[in-house]
Amino acid sequence: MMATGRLLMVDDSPTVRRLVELTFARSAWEVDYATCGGQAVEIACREPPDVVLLDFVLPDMRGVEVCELLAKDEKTRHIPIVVMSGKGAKVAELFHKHAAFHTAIGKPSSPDEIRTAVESAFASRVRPPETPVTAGSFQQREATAKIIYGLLREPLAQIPNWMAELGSQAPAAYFARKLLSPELVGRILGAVASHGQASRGTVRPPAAGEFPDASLQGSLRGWSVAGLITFLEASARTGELTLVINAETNLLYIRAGEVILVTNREPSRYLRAALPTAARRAVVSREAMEAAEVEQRASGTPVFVTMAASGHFPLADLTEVLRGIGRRLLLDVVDATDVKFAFRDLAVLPAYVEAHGRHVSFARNTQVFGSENGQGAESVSEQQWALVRLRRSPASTTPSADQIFIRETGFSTKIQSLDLTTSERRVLALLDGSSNAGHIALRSGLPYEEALATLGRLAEIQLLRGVRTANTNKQSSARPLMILEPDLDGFQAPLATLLGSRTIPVRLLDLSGEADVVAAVQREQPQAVLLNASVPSSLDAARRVRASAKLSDIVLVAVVDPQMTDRTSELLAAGFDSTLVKPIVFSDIERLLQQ
Amino acid sequence: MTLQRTAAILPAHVSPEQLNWLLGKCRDFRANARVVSDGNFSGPEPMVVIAALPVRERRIPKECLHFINHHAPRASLLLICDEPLVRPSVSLVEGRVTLIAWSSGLEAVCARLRVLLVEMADSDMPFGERATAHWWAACQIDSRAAPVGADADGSLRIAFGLNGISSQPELPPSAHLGLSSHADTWQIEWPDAPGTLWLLSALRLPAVSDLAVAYGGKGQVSFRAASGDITLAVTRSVGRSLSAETLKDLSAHTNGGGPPLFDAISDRARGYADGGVLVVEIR
Repeated sequence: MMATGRLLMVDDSPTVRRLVELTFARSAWEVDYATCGGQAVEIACREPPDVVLLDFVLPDMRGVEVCELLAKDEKTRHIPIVVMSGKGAKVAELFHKHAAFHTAIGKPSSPDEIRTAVESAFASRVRPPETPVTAGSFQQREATAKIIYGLLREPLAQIPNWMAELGSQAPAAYFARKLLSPELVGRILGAVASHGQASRGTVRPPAAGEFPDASLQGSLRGWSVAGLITFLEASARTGELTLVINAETNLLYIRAGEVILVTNREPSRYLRAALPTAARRAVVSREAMEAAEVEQRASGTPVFVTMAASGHFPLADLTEVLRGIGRRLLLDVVDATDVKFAFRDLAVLPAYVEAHGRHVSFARNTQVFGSENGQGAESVSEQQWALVRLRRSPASTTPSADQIFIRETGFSTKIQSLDLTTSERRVLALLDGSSNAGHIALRSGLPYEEALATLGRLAEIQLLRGVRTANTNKQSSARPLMILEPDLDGFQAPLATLLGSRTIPVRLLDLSGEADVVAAVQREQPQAVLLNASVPSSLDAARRVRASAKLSDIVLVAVVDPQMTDRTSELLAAGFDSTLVKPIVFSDIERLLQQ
Repeated sequence: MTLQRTAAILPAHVSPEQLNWLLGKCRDFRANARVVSDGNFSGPEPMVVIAALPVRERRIPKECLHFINHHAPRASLLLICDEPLVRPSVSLVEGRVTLIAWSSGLEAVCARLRVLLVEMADSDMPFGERATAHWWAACQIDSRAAPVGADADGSLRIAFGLNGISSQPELPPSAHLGLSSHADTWQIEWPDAPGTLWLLSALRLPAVSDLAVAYGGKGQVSFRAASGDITLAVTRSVGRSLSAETLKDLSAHTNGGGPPLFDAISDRARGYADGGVLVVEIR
């Protein structure tokens, strides 16, 4: 059903205001306009709109400041805010602390994108709870407990090692000191605070059959699960999507709009699965199996995850097993139309999802592309079928890292008929006609090989064209550099570009998506690892890398803000070889590589 | 003896369009430009020699060296190559040779030419700018060019009024920006006034930093300077209109370094009664 509400559009650009005006011209939306932050706050306080569409940079203040001002007023703090920025979803992290922030969209955005974002914000409106929520519902408390457990699980596993070092020290104080490090406490407080905030923002008085924690819920009638997922992809949300189909509950975990793990509450789906040899030979006690089944029925945590945690299932196989079963579960439900759904925004996904979650594609079976047996093909373009075929099997040739791609003739027309995945859109957004495939892969945030394969796939359906191969003699076998740095635009992306421009290019690998930093470092064997010292897990990661004899030759560098230079001795004590103060001169990193 | 504002252009490997553009830019900077024909040159000694570097050539062409030795022994050489460079421009031999690529953009080439002409102009300051072999600086206070002084050893120390000319120099707290004689150390003493002192460089990570946030109110602070660094100081009123985002956009559009950045910000500063801008670039 089309939404009808009041939209306050805040932008100093007449062109953008006109675009929004045209977007909602034939809708029931009433649109007010403000050209600066001050005017926006004044209008919003006088007559609170249902949604605010806010430009990131305004003549008198930044969008973040407008959010802060609106949050201060009881009448306006609940109004969902959609931010428009040339940097698109990348600015979202600046706004996440604001409960009213809904999503960020690109600038310019298409009328469809604007409408979708505004209507999604409208649907998610938070009204002040009719009954005050104090300690939260049982589900909230349970979810919070899971978050804390997820953060504690790794340090808890260290207890046997600590016991060996205990000596004559008092056990309680010793373990408390070891376990509750300031970094860990900070992470717990941060996670609990943001989760509590998200939960409070979405509480509605529960009604029969409703999901009390959901920020989005309802029934799909004549609208497929694929459509719902596409909608969530567009909003780049992170959280848990519950789908109830024929009394069976499926859980889809979504990170930044991408489905990364699918599970359900029926253990038999897992136990019937074709498993790798090592997994089939695993010896599992009856008690352990029953406990795992109970856990899955209660929380959806796959039996194999619980069994792996207790050492009864080979950890090495777990990611692929979960991905394979999750994919089958997703393909089973993706076309369903009689579905009850609920989406819950989560600040932190369950630990096993973070550890084993990988992109799970549903594109093969969506209604857009027709079903596996070709039904519905008459409504599908040749281009779409070509894309479906390519997604079923990898591209026949993966481009080399130094290949440069440009848009093929007719790109704009062709792309309109394609339903591209988030990964494909992300790679396309980075095309600039001069960056080679390797640079694009590094900047995409996707696994390197996956990004290259995506480029190859888009070239095979003639959406892109490889124009020339530059600097083939520059192909480098140099060991990569690894980095944990939250400033992606200002630090990581330009560093990747500078490293790629060297006579001997060096790849930059992002550690932020890695569940186990030490395992990733062991796998990639980088020349050096740069860790931002303000990231709470950096110190722990440095200590763990230093503790590994196999990684003794890897240079560990702490990247510090100018205000943090007094922490140098602490960082060196944690195992860092040196510190670099922001803004870092690139030649210092060059020197590091020459060492 | 002060050199006259004269430039010599060696036409080898320069297209007719590029040659015309260079002649026009020299005129804009009020420099008398002449094209060298068959190595012959008559007239006053040029302060800047402009030459092109053939593709894949890594040394200064012989004919260029010959011309400089015989006709322009004190001149600076602007060498323009036809291949992309990792750095926007490279300053060599104590600033005597500046290497830049056409692909860096005409604005960048123009900015290097401007810096060389300013340096060689000695005390003649038609642009209210100053340059040595190691740095270039320009200052504007209340819509007027303000002099930029340098110590005899080439070091720079400028007191900057954050509230415009009425408060210059502002005491206390002081706002001072300094650069050591070989431009290897920045020295700043700045009040806690966010948005009034920035460091920009395509070779730093991040490329734009608010130094007033990092070091404001902490007394005198020194840190390493590097080629390509640009510091931008602005009065409080102008600072309120700047953010890291706007500066990133601005520096991307003005990839020619200090001069075009100074032009862009000083244009903006003219809109304020107490607008003031200081830009210092390390060559």
